[in-house]
Amino acid sequence: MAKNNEEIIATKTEKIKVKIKNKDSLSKIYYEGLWSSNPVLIMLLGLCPALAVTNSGINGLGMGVATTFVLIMSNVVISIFRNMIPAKMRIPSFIVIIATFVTVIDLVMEAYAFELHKSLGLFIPLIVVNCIILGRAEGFAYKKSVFLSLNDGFAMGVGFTLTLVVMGMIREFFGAGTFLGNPIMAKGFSPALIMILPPGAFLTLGYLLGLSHYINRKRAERANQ
Amino acid sequence: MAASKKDVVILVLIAAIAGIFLSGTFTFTKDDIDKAKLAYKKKGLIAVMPFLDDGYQELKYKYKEQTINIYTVSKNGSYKGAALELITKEGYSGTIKFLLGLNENQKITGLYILDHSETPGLGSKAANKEWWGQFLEKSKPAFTFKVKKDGGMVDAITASTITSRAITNAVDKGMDIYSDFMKNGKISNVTELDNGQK
Repeated sequence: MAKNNEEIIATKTEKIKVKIKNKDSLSKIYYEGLWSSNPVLIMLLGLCPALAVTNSGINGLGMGVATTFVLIMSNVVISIFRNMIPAKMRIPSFIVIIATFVTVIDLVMEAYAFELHKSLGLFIPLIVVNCIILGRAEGFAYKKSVFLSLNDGFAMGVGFTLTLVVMGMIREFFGAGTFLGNPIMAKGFSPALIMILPPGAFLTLGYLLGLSHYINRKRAERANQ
Repeated sequence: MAASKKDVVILVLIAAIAGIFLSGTFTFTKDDIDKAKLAYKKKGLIAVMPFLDDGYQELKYKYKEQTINIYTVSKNGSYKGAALELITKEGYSGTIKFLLGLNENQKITGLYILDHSETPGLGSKAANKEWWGQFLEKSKPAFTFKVKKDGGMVDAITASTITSRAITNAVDKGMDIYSDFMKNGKISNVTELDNGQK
């Protein structure tokens, strides 16, 4: 009988451990959004805007902020109505909600940030098809509470924005010799134009992917020692 | 696997609410968007017409099946000059839209690129005064508005002959339009729009 009790306690402890591991905490949400499940570097989502609008730091920041707005709003709205949205209609419903918020931010940017809107151009409406937003809607907001969904949207958005800003600043520096639009290199500096052209985007993203995966691997190796 | 009637009703409801929300946002931002567009255009007009300080008049001028937007400036009753909104489809990556400023002696006072898709670092240099500055104070027939490769006097941007040629040829046409406007336009072929405020 004692053995049975021990087994029961052992399985119960295991179950609790699993539950704690899967428990949603804010720190877990932020760690995942910013690093361990970084939408661009780890989940490899949203690569199209990451490549296309990171020709300068400001453009990357603008796109990141616009996407974060849509992420937060769509996550919140979908989470609020998650029990009312029928499962069979969920994808069209998500798309309608996401597209609405993208149009809102498009109009707002055109009214209050005209030059940035002009620079980003057609990539603002393309936020609708950014897989990060639909991914979080389906994988998180549809299942979890409004508070958690809001934070998840913000965390993923910040992770996305930071990645884009870093990419933008690297490409801008090597490709145009400027920092956030201000020239900081001497006149003699001949920038590598390729960095602000599409091949430079792929090169920068490739190196960042390699670096982040290398760091993660080293950490995993140290953890296993 | 067909959706139930209830599901369809919910989706229609979601779409309807989204529609209402969007039309509200549209109405709310409409004026500010128009203001922003106007401010952007004004920035260009001020850049090409240094004599602009009070206001301008926006006109539509008909020249050989084309309708050109012309922004004229007069001070104390005397005509000072105008800016022409010119378009060329011959750019390396498509359409280039720009403003060309001219004074009452048909001499160029400025050039401001409004829209382009040219290659950054190459054709995009056309927006820099280092390149278009060579047009300042020039007029026909003393100056031939063609790139040197085509027998003219215009220095093309290194490795961006196509962009340079497109803009130069459009400037050439613009000079013809302006001289036609100076001769005839002030009397006929003109539809006055509105007075631009400062």
